[in-house]
Amino acid sequence: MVILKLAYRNLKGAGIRTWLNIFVLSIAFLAIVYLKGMYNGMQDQSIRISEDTDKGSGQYWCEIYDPYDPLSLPDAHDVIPAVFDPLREAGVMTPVMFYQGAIYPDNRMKNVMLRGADHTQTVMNMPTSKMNVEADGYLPVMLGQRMAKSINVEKGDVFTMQWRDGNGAYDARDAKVVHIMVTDNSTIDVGSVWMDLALLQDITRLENQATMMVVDKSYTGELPEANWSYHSLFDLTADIRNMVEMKSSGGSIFYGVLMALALLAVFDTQVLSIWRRRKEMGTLMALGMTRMTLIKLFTLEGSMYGIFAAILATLYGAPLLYLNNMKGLTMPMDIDNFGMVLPQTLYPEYSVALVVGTIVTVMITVTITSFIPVRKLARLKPTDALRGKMS
Amino acid sequence: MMKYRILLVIAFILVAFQPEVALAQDWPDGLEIMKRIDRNMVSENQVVESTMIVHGRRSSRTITSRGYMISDEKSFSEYLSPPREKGTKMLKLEDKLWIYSPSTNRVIQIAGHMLRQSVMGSDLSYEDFTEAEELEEAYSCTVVGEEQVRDRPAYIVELIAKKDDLAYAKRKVWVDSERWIALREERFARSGKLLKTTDITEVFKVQDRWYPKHMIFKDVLKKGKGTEFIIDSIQFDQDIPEHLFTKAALRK
Repeated sequence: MVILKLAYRNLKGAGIRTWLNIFVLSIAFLAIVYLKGMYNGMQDQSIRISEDTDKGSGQYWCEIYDPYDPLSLPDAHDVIPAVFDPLREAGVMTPVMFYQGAIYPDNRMKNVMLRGADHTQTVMNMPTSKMNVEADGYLPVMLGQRMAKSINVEKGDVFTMQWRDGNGAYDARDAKVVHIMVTDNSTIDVGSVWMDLALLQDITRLENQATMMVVDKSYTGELPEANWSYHSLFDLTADIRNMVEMKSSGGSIFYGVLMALALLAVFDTQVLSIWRRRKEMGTLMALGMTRMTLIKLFTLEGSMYGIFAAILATLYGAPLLYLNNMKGLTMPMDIDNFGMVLPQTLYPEYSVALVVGTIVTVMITVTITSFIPVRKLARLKPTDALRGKMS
Repeated sequence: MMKYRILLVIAFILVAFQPEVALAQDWPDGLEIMKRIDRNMVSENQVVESTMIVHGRRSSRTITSRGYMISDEKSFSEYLSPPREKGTKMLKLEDKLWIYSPSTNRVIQIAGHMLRQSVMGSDLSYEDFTEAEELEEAYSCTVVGEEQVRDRPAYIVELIAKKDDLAYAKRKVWVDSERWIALREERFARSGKLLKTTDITEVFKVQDRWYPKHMIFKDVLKKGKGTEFIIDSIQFDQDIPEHLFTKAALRK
């Protein structure tokens, strides 16, 4: 208790030097919590968006479908197994079909993925009911806002669409954009043209066929056995987790540099303290303080930087993080280039484990950094110290 | 008397506006026409040197190539110029297509959506290269009219696919009625929408065959002036080594 009071008084006595160290350390501390919170938020939001709009609680894929093999895509459709009928009728499962095609907005060709979804479905959070309209003899199609922007079309515009039907024959019709969908999920937007599944099946002559079945995110019942492979949400979002992990590793370099700067300041202060306070150390030893207690005292002084930094970071950081949590971080650039599902506005997620974990990590590193220069006090002779010498 | 006049006028209108119906009995059989075209076009094999002029929005590019073909099943072509494309090779075996690029030293199979990509920015897609159809077998051919095409007399032959799995549900070919060579072709989608046109603007005689010399391919759905294709030289029934039609030949 004595050394605790002594350490506190010494820190207080050091004045501006102490506060500078604490401030720098608090910035590093805050940056770590902020960045980790952002990555946690990014991962959780991406998975939530995918689950909500695209992947549900899982998907059944037809045998040939392999999203990583573009060569499989032309044949990635099959007759929907009857075993799915009860869940389809209950509204907890919906078929989706992918089919390759091309569109010619403004007479320029663009390869697209024609995607068919039942206009009555409620499994995926998409405005599919908007596709069920009469489009003056044109094929009614729905585009995402990114896709519409990239091909420069608006609601009501007409463009030619070409594809090869299930038998391999070319077909082409004019399609009318009946709705522009606003979604955070760029994977169902970029390069996609959505239409009613029945219509896609009709124009491709692939009756009752689909590429996958999406299971509702709230469905927890038994899943039927089928010759289509089942992929859970966890499997389907492995890419997102890997991507965030990779980005998080990249981010750790940034806060590693910040921490290194802060720890360097602590280290320097400790070295300077030992050098300037030799006579004080000698006096303390002459008064009966053991070397071990002296080491504890100086190490504690260093560790207290961490404690004060955590308190300071909480004082000015908590309101900042709270504000950030409320308003989110709106990305100033086209985040579709990230190649993953990301919302335009990212909301960080700070957990107790994150904050406590960061405090513990910072405290341990600060303590170790404080201890390293203090080790030499183990060989200190009180007579040398009183004369201002280091042995 | 008045009734006769009215009937006469109706008969005249029918003849004037539906010449196909009125003169149908004089036209040769559509199948026979296609066979005569094949006699000009089909050979055991061909070695062709050609020039392709791709008209872009701002400028045009000229690409020369040499191609070896055995029927419709196998073909091997190598680009000779410009320097950027020189050494690029393409191999087609039945409905499969591979391309070799010397800059990457890699052979890639063109499949899926890549088949729809244009070849060197032209109006021809890789898919067009993979089509191998015996027209007379795959389509029912009917002569539907006669017309002058660039001052040449031509029959209009309509080809309707006999099977559902053919690339084009309908084609329309204007055939020179003296030289038995196509002068123009239109290809239609299943919906009836016109997709592609080919205009043969110049023909030449090689080894007693009439053969297209200058063609213009046009993807009707795209903007642009189309792609010109010029046959610089062609030789029929040559000794083409079989090893040329292997993937290994692409890297040589």
